[in-house]
Amino acid sequence: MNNPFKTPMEVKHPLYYWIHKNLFSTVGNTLLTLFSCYLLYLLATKSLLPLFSWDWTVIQANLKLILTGSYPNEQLWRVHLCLWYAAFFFGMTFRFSRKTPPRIMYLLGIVLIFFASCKFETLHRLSMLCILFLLFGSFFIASKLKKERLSLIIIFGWILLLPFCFGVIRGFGGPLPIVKTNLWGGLLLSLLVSLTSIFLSLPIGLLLALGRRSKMKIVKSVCIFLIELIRGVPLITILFIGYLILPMALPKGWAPSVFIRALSGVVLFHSAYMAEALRGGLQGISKTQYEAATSLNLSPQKTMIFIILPQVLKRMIPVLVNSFTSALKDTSLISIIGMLDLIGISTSIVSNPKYLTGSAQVLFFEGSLYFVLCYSISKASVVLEKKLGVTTKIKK
Amino acid sequence: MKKRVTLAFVLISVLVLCLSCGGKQESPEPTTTSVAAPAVAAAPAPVVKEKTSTLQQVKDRGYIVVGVNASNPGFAYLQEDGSYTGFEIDLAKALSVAVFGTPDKLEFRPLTSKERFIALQSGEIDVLIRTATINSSRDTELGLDFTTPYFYDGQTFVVRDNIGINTMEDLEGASIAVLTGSTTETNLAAIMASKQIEYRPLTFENLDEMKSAFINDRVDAVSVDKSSAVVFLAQFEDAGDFKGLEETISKEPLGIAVRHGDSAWKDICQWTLFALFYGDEHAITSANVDEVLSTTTSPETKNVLGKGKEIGAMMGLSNDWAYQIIKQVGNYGEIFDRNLGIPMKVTRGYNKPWNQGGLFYANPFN
Repeated sequence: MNNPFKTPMEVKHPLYYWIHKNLFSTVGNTLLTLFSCYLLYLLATKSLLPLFSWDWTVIQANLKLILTGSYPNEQLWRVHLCLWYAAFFFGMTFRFSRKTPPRIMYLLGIVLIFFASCKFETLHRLSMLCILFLLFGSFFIASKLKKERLSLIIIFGWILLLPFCFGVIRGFGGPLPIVKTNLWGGLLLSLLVSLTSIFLSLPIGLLLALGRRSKMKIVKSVCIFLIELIRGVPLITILFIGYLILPMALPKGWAPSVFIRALSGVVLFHSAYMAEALRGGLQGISKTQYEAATSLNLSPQKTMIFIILPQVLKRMIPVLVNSFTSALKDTSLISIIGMLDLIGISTSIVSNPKYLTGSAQVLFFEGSLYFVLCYSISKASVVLEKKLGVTTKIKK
Repeated sequence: MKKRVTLAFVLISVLVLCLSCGGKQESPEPTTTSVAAPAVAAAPAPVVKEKTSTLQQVKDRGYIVVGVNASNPGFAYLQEDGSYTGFEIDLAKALSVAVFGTPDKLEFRPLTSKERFIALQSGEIDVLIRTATINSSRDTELGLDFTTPYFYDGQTFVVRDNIGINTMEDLEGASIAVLTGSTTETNLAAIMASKQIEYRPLTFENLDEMKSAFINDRVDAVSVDKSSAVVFLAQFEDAGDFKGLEETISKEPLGIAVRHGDSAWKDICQWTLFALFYGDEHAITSANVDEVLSTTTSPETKNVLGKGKEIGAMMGLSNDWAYQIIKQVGNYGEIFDRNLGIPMKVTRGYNKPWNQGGLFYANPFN
C-alpha cells in the first residue's frame, strides 16, 4: 500500500531517507550525531572491550563463595533442594497465568543448560538439569489440574516456600545437621534476607496499615508510633541498633544471632514503608465500596478481605514491585554489620592474595546478578498485571 | 493530637530509659568477675570451675567463637571453598588446638573495626584476633585485656613515586586517606599537628575503597600500617610507580584481646602465643617436633612439649597442648611464612624472636 505522503526518495531508499531525516537533517543534528558516535566509540573501546580482556578466573574460582559463602560443601544439596522446590512452583505458577510457556521460561532453560555445561561438580550440573525438568514438568502437571485446585496448591506452595527453605538450609539435626547462620553467605544469604523481608513485610505492613486506620485509640497510636519510629530512622541505624546496642541491653546470652537481628531489622524497616504504601492504597478506595458491602450485610472483616483488599493489592502492584526491588537491593547494607552477603563476600574474595586485583570483576559480576534478579521481578510483575487485567492501555 | 504526641514522647523516653538501664546493669558484671576471679585464682584448681570463666563456657559449648576480619589480605580472608584462612586464623587454630586438641573447633564471626570491641564486651565472641592495636585506653577504659603482641606493626605512608614526596614534610597540603575509626586516623592527626604540617584528611570505611581512591588519583597519599602497605604495593608490582615512605609514625603492636578480668582465659591465649614463639626461638617446627621431643635434653623444652612439668594441667588444658599446637599448626615462623612471608612478601622486621634480633620473647615455661 503506497502512502501518498511519501516522497519518491523515501520510497526508493527508505534507509538512506531515514538516516538523513533523523541524523543529518540540520547542521546541529549532524554535529550531535557525530558527537554521539564519538561517545559510543569511547564507550566501546574504553569500557566494553576491556570487559572481554579481563581475567575472569577470580569469578570461576570463587563461584561457590559468591553463591553460597561458607556453606559446607557436603551440605550444598540442601540449597539445590530449595531451588527444586522453587522451580516446581514457578512452573505451576506460569501455567496458571497462561497456556503456553512464557518466554522467560525458555530463557531460564537456556541459562540452566548453560550452567549445566559449565565446569561444576557433576552433582551441581545434574541438579541444574533437574531444575529444568521440574520447571517444565510442573508446567505440564499443572495443565492436568483443575484451576481452583491449582490456585490453592500454588498459594500454599509459595506461602510454605520460606519455612521450607529455612528449615532445609538451617536443618534441625538428624539427617539435616544444623548449619549455623554464620556460615551462610553470598547470594544465598542475600536472597534469604530479601525474600524474607519481601514475604513478611507485606502481611506486617498490612496489619500496621489497617491498625493505623483503626478506630481503636490504642491500636491506632501504637501503629502510628511504630511506623513513624521505624520510618524516621535510616536502615543503617536500625541495623546498628540491632547489632551493637541490643546485645548490650539484653542479659548475656539472650541476644539472638546476628543473622536474626539483621533480618528482623530489615523486615521491620520494610514493613513500615509497606504500611504507608498500603495505607495510600486503602485510602484510594471509595467510600461507596464499604457502603455497598455493608448493604450486602458483610461483616467488616469480610468486607476487608473480599471487597477492599483485592482491589487495593491489584492496584498497588507497581508500588509493591518497587518496594520488593528496593528490598532486594537494600539487603546489601547488611554487609556493613559484618555479614558476608553478596557485597560483603566480595571484599573477602579480593583479600585472597591470589585475587588482589580482581575487585572490578567481582563487583561487575555481582552487579549483573542484582540486575538479573530485579529485572526478573519486574518482568514477573508485568505478567501478573496482564493476568489480573490491571494494565490499561490508551487506545489509539 | 497533642495527647498523642505526649503519649509518643513518654513511650520513647521509657524505651530510652529501659535501654540505658539495661546497659548499665550489664556493665558492672565484668567488674564483679574481675574481683571474683583473682580470689578464686589463689586456690589452684577451681579456677576452671568458676561459672563465668570464658574457658568453662568455651568447653561447655565445644567451640571457640573468634572475632576476625573477613577481608584482610594475608591476615584473614575466605578462600575459594568458603573456609577462613590467614595469619590470624592460624593463631585462632592454635588456640583451638590448645583447648580442644584439634584446630577445627572454631566459629568465626566477621567483624568490622568499629564493632569489634563491642562484640567482645557484649560476650558475643570469646576472643578477638582482628588486628587490634594494644593501647592503654583500650586496655583500661574499654574493659579489655590484651596478650603481648603477636605482630609489631607501624603506620607509614604510600605515595606516588613520581610526585617528589620522599619524607613526611613533603606532604604539606596533600590529601591523605585513612581508615575511619582506627588508630591510624588519630595517629595521623596527632603527628601532623605536632609537625605543623597542613593536610586534608579523607576517611574511608575499608581498605578497598581507599585503594580505588588512590588509584584514581583522588588522594595524594594513603596512610596505612606497614602490613597493609606491603599488600598495597604488591598489587602494583608491575606498575612500579608507588612506594612506601621509610618513616614509621607509630607503634602498632597487634594483640589478642579478651574481656577484662578473665585471667584463666587470657592465660591460655597468652601462653598459646608463647608456645608459638618458643617453637620459633628454638627452631622446633611441625616437621621436627617429634624428633626434638625424643632427643631434647633441655628441661624447658620438655616442659613445653609436655614431658616435664604439667604446665597444661595448671591452665586446665591437656598436658601436650603446646606439642599439639606446634605439631598441627606450626611455630610462629611457620605461620608467618605460610600466610605473610611467601604469598605477601612481608618481611619479618621486628617480628622475629629476640635471639634473632626481633622483639618476640617467650617467657620461661617453668
